[in-house]
Amino acid sequence: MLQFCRTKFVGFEQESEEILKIFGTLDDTLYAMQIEMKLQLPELVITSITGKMRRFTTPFCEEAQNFLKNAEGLKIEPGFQSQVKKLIGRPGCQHLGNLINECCESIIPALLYMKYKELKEKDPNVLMSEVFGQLKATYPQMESFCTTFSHLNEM
Amino acid sequence: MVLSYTKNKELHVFEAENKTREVRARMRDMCFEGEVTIKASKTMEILEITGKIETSISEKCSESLTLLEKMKGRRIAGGITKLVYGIIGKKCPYLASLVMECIDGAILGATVGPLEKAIPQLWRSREKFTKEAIIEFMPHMRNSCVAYTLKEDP
Repeated sequence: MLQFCRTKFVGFEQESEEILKIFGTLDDTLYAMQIEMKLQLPELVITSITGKMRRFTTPFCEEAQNFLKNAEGLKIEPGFQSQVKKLIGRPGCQHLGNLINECCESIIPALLYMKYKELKEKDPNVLMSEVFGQLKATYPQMESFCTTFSHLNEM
Repeated sequence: MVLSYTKNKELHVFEAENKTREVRARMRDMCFEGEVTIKASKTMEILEITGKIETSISEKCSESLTLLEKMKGRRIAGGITKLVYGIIGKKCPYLASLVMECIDGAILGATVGPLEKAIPQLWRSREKFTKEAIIEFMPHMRNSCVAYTLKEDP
């Protein structure tokens, strides 16, 4: 019998060359919440974040929204997940922290896909190694913590 | 404005035979589609684990499916995140993320029952709904988040 069900959605919108807008929602048997954040490119720094907890288990859960601002200034680099847990998850809400990490973990695949789409419009036969090369030139910091990048490097 | 990238992740936790729990996590984004299923015992031991990858931009991800076997027999407890990313994440972060989702699911599955019983009762009598009351009810949750942390807690 189904005991628990959770759905998470993450969406990216390119607001400008320098700003990426990220939306995240989490809906499950116990909780429902949403966040919206802005990421500065190419530094990969969270410049703003807002969120709302729509369904929760205790009257104290909503206080966790106050901890969201702790994520402002956070750089997406190796170890960012632990930082999110430390700054928002543990003092605020683990599920809110989980949603932020879900969004932040999507940054590399999102940038990769967006670059691929951009280059494919110019050249339908573009190779992933070319996509990787261009992305690496813009975001050199990615290679230090992304295995996908190191794999693509071998392609 | 049109979204440039989307990701969906679904988690389902089922009660299975002999007080075990079956947890399924599925993810789909522009670069990857895959699924991981684990069976966890009442004592949170991973009894079975399987996975499948339908779409991936990296061949290493498909190759990493065999690594799931290394999670068998492990207990869902402190240090499991490091273990998952150390064993699977190095090869395929997507697959590691799905394993972690299953692990979260096993924990949430164990928590949802007691919460479903206690929380509606507490909401009915708001004056009794204190942090002390919920911590007394679920002491293992103490210091885990704002709701389970008292002012005097470090």
